Amino acid sequence: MNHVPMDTDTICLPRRSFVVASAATLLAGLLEPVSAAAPEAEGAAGPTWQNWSGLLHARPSAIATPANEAELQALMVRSHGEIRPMGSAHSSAALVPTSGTIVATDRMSGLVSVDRQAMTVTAHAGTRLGTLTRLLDAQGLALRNLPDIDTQTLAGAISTGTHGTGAKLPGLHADLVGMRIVTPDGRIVALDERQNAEMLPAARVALGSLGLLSQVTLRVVPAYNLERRVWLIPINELMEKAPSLAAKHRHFGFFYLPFTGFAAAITQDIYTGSDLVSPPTADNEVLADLRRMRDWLGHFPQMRRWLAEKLLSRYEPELERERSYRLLAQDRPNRFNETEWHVPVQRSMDCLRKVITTLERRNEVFWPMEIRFIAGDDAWLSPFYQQDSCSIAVQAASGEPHDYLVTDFTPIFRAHGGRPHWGKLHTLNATELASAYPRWADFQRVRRHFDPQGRMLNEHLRKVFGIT
Amino acid sequence: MLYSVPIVRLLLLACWALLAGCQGAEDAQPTDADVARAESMRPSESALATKYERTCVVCHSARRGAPLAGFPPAWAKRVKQGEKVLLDHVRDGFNGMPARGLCTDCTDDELRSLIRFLTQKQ
Repeated sequence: MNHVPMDTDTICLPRRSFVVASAATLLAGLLEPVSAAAPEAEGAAGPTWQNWSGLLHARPSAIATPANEAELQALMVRSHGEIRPMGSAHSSAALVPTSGTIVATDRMSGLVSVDRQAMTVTAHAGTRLGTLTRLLDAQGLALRNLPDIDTQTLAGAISTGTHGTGAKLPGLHADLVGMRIVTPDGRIVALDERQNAEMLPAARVALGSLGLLSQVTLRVVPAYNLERRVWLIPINELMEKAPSLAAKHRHFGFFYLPFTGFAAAITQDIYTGSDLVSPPTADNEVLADLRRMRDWLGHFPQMRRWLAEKLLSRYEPELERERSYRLLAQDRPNRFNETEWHVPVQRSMDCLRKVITTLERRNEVFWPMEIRFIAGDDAWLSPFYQQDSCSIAVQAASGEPHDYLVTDFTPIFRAHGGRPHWGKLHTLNATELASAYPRWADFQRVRRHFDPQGRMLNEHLRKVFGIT
Repeated sequence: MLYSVPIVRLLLLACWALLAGCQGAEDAQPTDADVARAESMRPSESALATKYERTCVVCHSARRGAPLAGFPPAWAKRVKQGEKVLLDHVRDGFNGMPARGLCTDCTDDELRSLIRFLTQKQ
């Protein structure tokens, strides 16, 4: 269950081999490495929690793992103080840390029911997306879209506005048609088209501030296959073509490879044939190669770019055809910290140019940037609220400096009308967020209705919501 | 600067290309049958199978960065490190592996059993 102890990642990039590990011995002696400090060691005593990237730590009074809604309800009644839900601990934002009780709902996993007439499924909220998609596939069903990571629980992904890519496809929360919330005082509140429907726009994306989700009901579609094409292309050329590619393909996104001038473009479309093909991936090695080029040539950005261009320009496009859930999501065998902003799509390429220029002032950067497209929706705290968006994610390897992700890029994203991903690094306060979300005050009214004592709020959320 | 001299660039590129050509054989890759088996295999003990299905299966049953369940070549280097090291990596998290493999209610014995299940051909 561990991974190879090397720096790798699955990032949907083309098959490599523009750099090889053995070249390190040649160059390492010539060039001083440009890399960053190792992460700190952590002591451990009593209940401890950390997020996936290792950035966030907490010492809660308890980590509870209720097996069902009744146990969750009992837990809410008997516990005191702060309560925060955890999904898969993938967020870089401090949504979970608390000295109170952390509740892991992953024992509440699996399908509850399938309604083929309505094309909806009800699932326990702790079900991981990767588990759900396999259960659905066995029933001939699928989710309309998926984030590019599927280890999240349904509750975590929905509550943070997690999304995939597809200019005509909204985030996962937009396919939610019902939910059951266990409130901090132990009530169970059902929301759907017939009950409390007026609260659904508030509850779709609520950062776990209303209570704990026990069940969700989602729209589904018949299971489908996708055909994925990946090709390398100069970034300036791709930015010109990006709007038309996003309009033409069901899924379109790309990774920019810093200090190379190249991007890996990815399109995915419905494939109705039966000749599936799934070549082995070497994406992990691509990231390792990018890191090596940083380590060896970080002090020589012109040389780094020149060499990358020579070596990348000869690559052939790739083709893969697979079940949708196997292509849309990948895992991340290498940890990172991240900021991601959702910019109005019309302003996104201008924003991206400025982000790249700023990013490449830092020679230590090597991690690819991820750019995706998302349709707008009507959830009050959705980062895509009434706004078709392009998400721009800037990432830094775990253990390396990451403060610049916030300090350098927040002004750029804000100047382009961006909204931050709730689960990723940002420092916006309530005043700044309220100006970006027209229904902010309405959401706060609903939040106070569910949780008048603020038990679902930790330090981070009190700042986000402006509660002293 | 030194690297702006064309001959130095060409030499560097030649070294890279030469070393690329000398690279060893790739690790064995799973076949479609290996992937299909990984997708369907479950521990025989019911409670463990439930935990496996809601955690390990997400990353270890497809051609991804994580080693494929029941495909020993992907695990050989890891198994050589010994079960204690593997358990430590699972318990504390390691590289992309999240702490406890996302199984918040797994005991260490259950994690050992899951390691054995994942690393051996079923």
